[in-house]
Amino acid sequence: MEKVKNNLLEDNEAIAIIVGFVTSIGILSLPNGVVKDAKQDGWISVVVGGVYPLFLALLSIYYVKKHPNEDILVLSKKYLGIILGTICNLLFLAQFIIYFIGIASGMSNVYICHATAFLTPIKIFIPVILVATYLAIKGVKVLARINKIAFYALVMFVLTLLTALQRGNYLNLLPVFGSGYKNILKASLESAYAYGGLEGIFLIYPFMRNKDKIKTVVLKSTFILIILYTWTTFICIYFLGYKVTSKALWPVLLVTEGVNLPVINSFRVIFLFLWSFTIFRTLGDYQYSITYILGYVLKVKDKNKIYWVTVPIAIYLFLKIGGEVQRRAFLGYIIPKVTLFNMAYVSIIAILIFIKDKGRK
Amino acid sequence: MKKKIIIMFLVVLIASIYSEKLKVAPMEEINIVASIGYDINKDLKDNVQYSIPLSIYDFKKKGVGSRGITSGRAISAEETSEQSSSLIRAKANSIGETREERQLSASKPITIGTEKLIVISEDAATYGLLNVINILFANASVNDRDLAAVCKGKAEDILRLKVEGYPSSADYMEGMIRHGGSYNFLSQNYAVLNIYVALDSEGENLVLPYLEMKDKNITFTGMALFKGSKMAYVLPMEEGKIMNMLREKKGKGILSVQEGPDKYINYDAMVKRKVKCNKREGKYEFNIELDFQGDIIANTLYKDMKKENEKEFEELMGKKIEKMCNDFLNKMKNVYKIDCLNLGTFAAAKYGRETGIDWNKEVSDANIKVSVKVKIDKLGIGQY
Repeated sequence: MEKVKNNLLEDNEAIAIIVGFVTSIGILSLPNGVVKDAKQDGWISVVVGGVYPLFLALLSIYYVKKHPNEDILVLSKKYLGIILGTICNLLFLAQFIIYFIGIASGMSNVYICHATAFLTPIKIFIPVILVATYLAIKGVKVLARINKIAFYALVMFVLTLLTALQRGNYLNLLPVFGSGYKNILKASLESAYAYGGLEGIFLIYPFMRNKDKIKTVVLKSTFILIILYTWTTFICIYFLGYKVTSKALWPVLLVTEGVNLPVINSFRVIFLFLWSFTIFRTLGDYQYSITYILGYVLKVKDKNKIYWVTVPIAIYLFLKIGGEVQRRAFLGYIIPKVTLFNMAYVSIIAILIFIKDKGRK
Repeated sequence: MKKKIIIMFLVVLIASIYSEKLKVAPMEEINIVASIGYDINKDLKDNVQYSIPLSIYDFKKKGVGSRGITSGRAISAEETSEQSSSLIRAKANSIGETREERQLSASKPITIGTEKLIVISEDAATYGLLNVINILFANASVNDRDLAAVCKGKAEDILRLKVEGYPSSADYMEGMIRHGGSYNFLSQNYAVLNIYVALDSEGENLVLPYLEMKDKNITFTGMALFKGSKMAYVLPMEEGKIMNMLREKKGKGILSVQEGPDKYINYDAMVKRKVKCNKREGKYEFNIELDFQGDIIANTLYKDMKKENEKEFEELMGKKIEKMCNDFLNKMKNVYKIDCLNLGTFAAAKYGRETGIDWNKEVSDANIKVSVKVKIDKLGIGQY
């Protein structure tokens, strides 16, 4: 009994794990995506794109209010029937797999380009997936603690970008709204995809200790995410101008070159070191969720056995993705569909909960 | 038992993947680059050959040095090794191909990332920077904080020059540019990263230091002014100083009022610039405010600095600076016809980007007003 109690998540840990699901590779590459349409107003699009995580957050509050101890997998079986529910759960699983692959291959591309040019992708993937699997095996509580550490690393590396403030040019951000409302909205779609991964809330909330505090937890983490993404986009445009931002694949790493520290030749490597914390914990989160969903759908009792299957398949899929251009093309094709499915799935279940609840009364 | 076998199998499998030799070399077996030069050879049919000399450090050991290692005694660097540099040159029809060509005449692999600065010859700068910037931007191991400069003649010659007391001429030039900021209103930002930004910002024109070899010595003789990615003019330092004053957000330099060969005041000032932009009847109007604040470092003009004298000096100095600026602006509008002051960025920020306006032309036709404020901070410990 005591052990079960200890496995529940505190509020801070829940915030960290929700932030952990989202912030990974996107924090380096998002500015590049939004400035293509929104130009100097890219950061506004990121704020507008925050509607999507906010929508998911509000729905999750509703879920917790009605069914505090059943996650989305149970609910979809309950409300959609066993067959349809299982299909939907498998599709829900597919999106986690896609994010998992996208993040891992993106990470190896960043590292091969910027830090460890002497390693081949497979040499990066093996330790990465072993670390992720190890974290996932340890369970949700350990994962949450790692997420907390990584959260501090994340805040730290994002704050180091503050030093770029003195070297940029505020003119790069003007005129505000100069690119037109249409373009800003178009780019905000792009940023909404970067917020993807927040769906992890729907798996996590049964593990929370104080379920009555879900409102503050979810809203806090959503606003932290919006602030983090807006700030990185803002500083990129401020420092580089939108044209250079659209040319660099990971513009944030170009900004780190502007951080001038004595003795250190290039701040970029330190930045990447801090960033590696965040990427490992995100991969751990995804590995855990994938196993959790698979274990639920296939009704496997010993979840650790699942890793024997998922790890080799994951490595194979990581290697299939290839270079950054192919990766972005693949994700650009599939992520909009995933996001659309998610919104539909999550809101349909919410509507069903609402209808059935009324019927019962 | 079964578990142990599986784990052993996995260890062997993973170890075999890592057993492949890594593509790394120890420090001693790498050529450490001090500087990269960019030269260009044009032939009659508009064809271009890129010639890229690399200045490379040589670490030679003197005879005494070898004893130091075995006896374990600490010996200062001067005793054990001597630093100098040599040049490896490579020519090819494109910049990437020069790497191949260069390796044929080099004994060790070459890695970049340690270079101090990038020297672009005058010819290469006039031909255009885009190809140079393209390959530098794509390469992650280039340090984007490397300085860049344009040199007279060939980059190869300036890199080959030996400067007394320095391992290579690149170290000397780097110091010169990096510490130039305290005078001549020079900016601190002549790095490669600034080139990326300047070439791609609307209404901005790039300016780089212009170095010259004079009597086996390197001097900073002016400012290379670019139009787009191509160098258009070289401004001599007297003009470059005024341009920097009007162009940079902040700068430091010395100005003086002189009435005779032995009667003058030197004013060591810091300037802050503010620009306001307006549009009236289709014509742009720019108001540049220069705020000087500084010390008088020498004064033989006034017998002693009274309050009235201070006011008189502030007025005199202000008028002189205004005249200097207006003369420069006239030359800029009528001769250079380039927006050297980045005024286009202000107009673009206010009136919209990507409207197809040629800011060089617009600024040349615009009304530019300069207003100067001069303030004295300190006079030193007294007047002799």
